[in-house]
Amino acid sequence: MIESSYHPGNSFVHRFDPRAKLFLLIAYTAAMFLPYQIEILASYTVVMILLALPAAGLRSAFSPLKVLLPIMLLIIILTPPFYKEGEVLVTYNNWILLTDTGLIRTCVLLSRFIGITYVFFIFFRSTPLNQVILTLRWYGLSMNAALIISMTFRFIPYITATYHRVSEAHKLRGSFQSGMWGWSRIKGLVPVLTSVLIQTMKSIPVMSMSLEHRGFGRASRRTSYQRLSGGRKLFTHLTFSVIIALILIIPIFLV
Amino acid sequence: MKQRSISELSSGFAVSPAYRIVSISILTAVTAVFTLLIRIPIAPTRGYINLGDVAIYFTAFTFGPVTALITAGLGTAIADLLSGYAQWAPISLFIHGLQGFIAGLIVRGSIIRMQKRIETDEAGNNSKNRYRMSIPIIFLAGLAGLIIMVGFYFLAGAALVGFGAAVVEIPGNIIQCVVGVVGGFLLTKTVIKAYPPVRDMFL
Repeated sequence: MIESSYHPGNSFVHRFDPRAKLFLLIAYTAAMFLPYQIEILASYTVVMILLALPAAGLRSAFSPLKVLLPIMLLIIILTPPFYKEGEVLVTYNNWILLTDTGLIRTCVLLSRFIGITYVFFIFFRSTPLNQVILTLRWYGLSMNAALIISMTFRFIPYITATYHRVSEAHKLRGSFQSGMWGWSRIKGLVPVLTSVLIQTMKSIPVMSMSLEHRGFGRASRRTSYQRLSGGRKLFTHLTFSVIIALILIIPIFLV
Repeated sequence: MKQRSISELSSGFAVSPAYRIVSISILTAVTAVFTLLIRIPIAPTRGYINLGDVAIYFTAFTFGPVTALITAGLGTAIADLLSGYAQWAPISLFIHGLQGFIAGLIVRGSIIRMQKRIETDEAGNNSKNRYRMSIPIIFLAGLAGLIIMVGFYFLAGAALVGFGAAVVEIPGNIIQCVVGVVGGFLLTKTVIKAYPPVRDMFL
């Protein structure tokens, strides 16, 4: 589950400094909400889809579109009825189905949603988790918060395995079956989830003691096992990101 | 484990930093797993709700508002990242964090008032009622969380996917939140009964 987010590679997207990538992610997401013309918004989205090709490879580059398909269909079906002004394009038995305003608004929402999805997809596909946390630390995330995030990702597989183990045990007892739905499923799940929660909470005091015995909370100088490299590469990549962010907002002033 | 006084409950400084970090990490992971893995079909062959809200309300009722703020926001954001909906992660971080915080705050106030009543009572030894949560308080906490979650998701959805698609999400969100409150309350009762030290984990 955790490994499916990041795929190793050697593309320029993978080699781009993660701090600059995060800056671009935020700048791009904010820019997608600016009042651009639809042609500019759509072109920004197409650029992001094209960037996914080196980041994720040809086979996986379009996987976000498969995940988004139901929401895209909802947008296409449910947006035009709320925009009846403008030139009428499609009618049926005197019902206005589509106007040019509705069409543009639907395209704006689709472009924005797909563009933002892809920028997140490219970032997490090309940046390993340890670098994501180091990047957040570089931007000011506290050591405790970074520790919480790291430990959370460490615990997720353990709790997943505990859940599967406990639910299999309850299935053998006949108290919990996969085909249940609604209220029966909730009733069957309560003993399973109770067991899972108790098992996980019993580990809290032991883990806390373990952390303290390793020196957590001591007022001595903190060490760092991994660091992100600095120097000229960081300066170049960050400068490039700032220039790209400024280019993104130029069309607002030209129109 | 030692029973804590009102001042320790309200200040929260009786708990070591390591304990707080570990409990937040584990509960965040629980929230992420409940959101990602555990789904309930709400009709045969149609639609699912996840149990992320069950974990959020359980944390709010058992561990308090600050823990619920962090675990609910971070847990659901991580679940969004891992399931391919990363664009919703910052939104979930804010909305579910606020939902957990408000629910925990309402319950915390009730627990502190109840403990104050027990400690100032001369008979004062009805420790069974020390952490009993009244149904009206649970209802209030659930209602506040529901308004926050459904309201803010609607606003965020309207900005991201349009008004029409955001309206369609409302019934599912309401069902999920109601199941979350009921499930969270049931789990709190059963977990406290089966593992009483949980009562002293309130942060």
